Amino acid sequence: MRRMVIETTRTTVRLAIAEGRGARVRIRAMPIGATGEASEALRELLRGLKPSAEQVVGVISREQVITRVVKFPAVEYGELTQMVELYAKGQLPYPREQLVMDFHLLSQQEGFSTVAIVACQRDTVERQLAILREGGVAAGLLTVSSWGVLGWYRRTLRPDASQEPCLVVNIDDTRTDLVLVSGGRILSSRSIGQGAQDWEAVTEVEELLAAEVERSRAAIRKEVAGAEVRSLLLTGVGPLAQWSASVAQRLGLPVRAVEAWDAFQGAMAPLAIPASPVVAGGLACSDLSAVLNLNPPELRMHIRHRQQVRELTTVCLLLIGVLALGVHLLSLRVSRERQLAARLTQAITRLEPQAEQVQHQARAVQVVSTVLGDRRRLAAHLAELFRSTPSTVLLEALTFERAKGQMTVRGSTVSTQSVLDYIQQLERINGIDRIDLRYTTQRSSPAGDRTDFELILTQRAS
Amino acid sequence: MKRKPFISFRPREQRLALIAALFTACWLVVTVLVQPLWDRAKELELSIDTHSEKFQALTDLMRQAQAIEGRYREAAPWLETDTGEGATGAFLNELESLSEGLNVKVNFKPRVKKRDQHVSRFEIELDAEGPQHDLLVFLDALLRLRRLVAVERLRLSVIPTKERLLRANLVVQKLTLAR
Repeated sequence: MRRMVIETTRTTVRLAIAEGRGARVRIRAMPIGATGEASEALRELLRGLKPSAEQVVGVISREQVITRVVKFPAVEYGELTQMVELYAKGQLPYPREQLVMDFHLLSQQEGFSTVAIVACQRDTVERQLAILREGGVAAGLLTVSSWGVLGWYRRTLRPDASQEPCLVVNIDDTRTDLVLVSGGRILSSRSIGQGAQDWEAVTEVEELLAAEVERSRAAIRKEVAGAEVRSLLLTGVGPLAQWSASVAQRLGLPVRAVEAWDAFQGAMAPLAIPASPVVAGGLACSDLSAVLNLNPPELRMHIRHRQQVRELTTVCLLLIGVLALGVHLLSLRVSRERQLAARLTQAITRLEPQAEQVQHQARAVQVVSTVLGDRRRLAAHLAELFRSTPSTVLLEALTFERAKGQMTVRGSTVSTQSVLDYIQQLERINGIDRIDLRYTTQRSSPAGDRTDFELILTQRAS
Repeated sequence: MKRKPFISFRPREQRLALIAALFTACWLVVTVLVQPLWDRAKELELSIDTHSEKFQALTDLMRQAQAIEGRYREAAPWLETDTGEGATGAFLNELESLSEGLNVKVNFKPRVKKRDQHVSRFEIELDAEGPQHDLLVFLDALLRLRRLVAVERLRLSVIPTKERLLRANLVVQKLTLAR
């Protein structure tokens, strides 16, 4: 991830480039030339650099925005947004359409939220955007310099509850930011339009600084109930160690002087011109989702659209990738199966002539064994039938049908009982499954009474 | 200066167009590539299954080849492959010779030859008449005939007007295996 933060001050344009989630930060600065054109200086600064960055952040100086700390009876973000919007319409000193604003949460308790509303005139925002545009980059986010100070503070120092709320004083060449930080959040911020460059001729800088800190403390007491500065941190440009000792003595507060560049180890050599890297560098390594957003609504919409398009494109690429992978896997499968089918066909072709021969032989064996088996069975059944027929039974006709597997026996005997006895005899014949008596009829003849009968013998299926 | 495109879309329209393009592209990929490949894969899979079964059956058959060949050698004397007129005549002569020395009167009624893919069937209807003993000897000889002959139907009955005489009506099939 490549991020570019562009900060313009009265005298310089600064550029901080963070790569790899803010781990490595490079900072460059370019003085605004005689023409006073910030966009020219920015173009000059960008020359030789790859202008493509995934995130471009523009910085609006704290002194160009107004803040209001307000307590609302809501804790939900959506509700708070609506309340802030209503507040902005009625309570801010500019018409709503001439303002760009955002808010950040200071505290929440018992169903109430204290928020700091930050508003900036649309003209100022447009001017900043125009500088970036003319410089050759499109801003993705406009934010306030105080958030850069917060980012720098988070990167530089470990959170220490005993030292917080801590007032961070970033002394730049032409501006000084005073930001009250506690628990990783901004509680209050101020900015004064003077910096180290302006104080070069001033002898009592420490006094001036102490006075500004006192002003800030008074403002903080008014804005944020219960918040009291516990320590002071001086950073930026100038003889910080010397100032800090003197300021500590005047204010009676613990004051630390921290070298601004300590946070950016591995960055390029300190700037050739005296400028504080705190704001640009701090923003370059901040989590931008938690930073105040002063983008005008149309830019927000445009960015949202770009993000959606980017996400859609990613989805497209993923989907196409998945499809391509699927197609590739399918092709592999088809190719493998084609090879397998070819091998099988080849093997079958090789085996088929011999197999046909064997099949022919098997068929012949089957036919011979069936025919001979049927013949043997018929002969055996006939022999058994004749052997089982007693002398009292006179056979008149015998019919065999191979297709039905049945033998029909017609004859006569002395009585029905004899017929039944005869059936019992026949049932002993091996291979006969069932014997059905179709009829018996009694008749008288010169030789005596006779009983005609017809039996159906069903062969057992072989 | 960058020229504006001839047709400019609103962001929402651009997104919709992108989604539509995505769906169209996916549909095209599925229709042109995935579906035919899938069908082909299924077809091949089916063909492989069929071929595998066939191959398995052939392998099993070949494994039994030796045993089948042994049984075939045993059955060989019963097999005939000549379906010509000569063979038919010889068979009729052989049938006729069965009644020689016996007091049996035999009539032959050859029927039409039937042929299927593997077996040729020559069907003959026989009417035999004679004393009970002679006729049974004739039938016994017929059933012992060393030819591939199947008895399809047999009707054995007494002749009411002629005491001690039997009549036999048979339909036999001489089977010849096609090569």
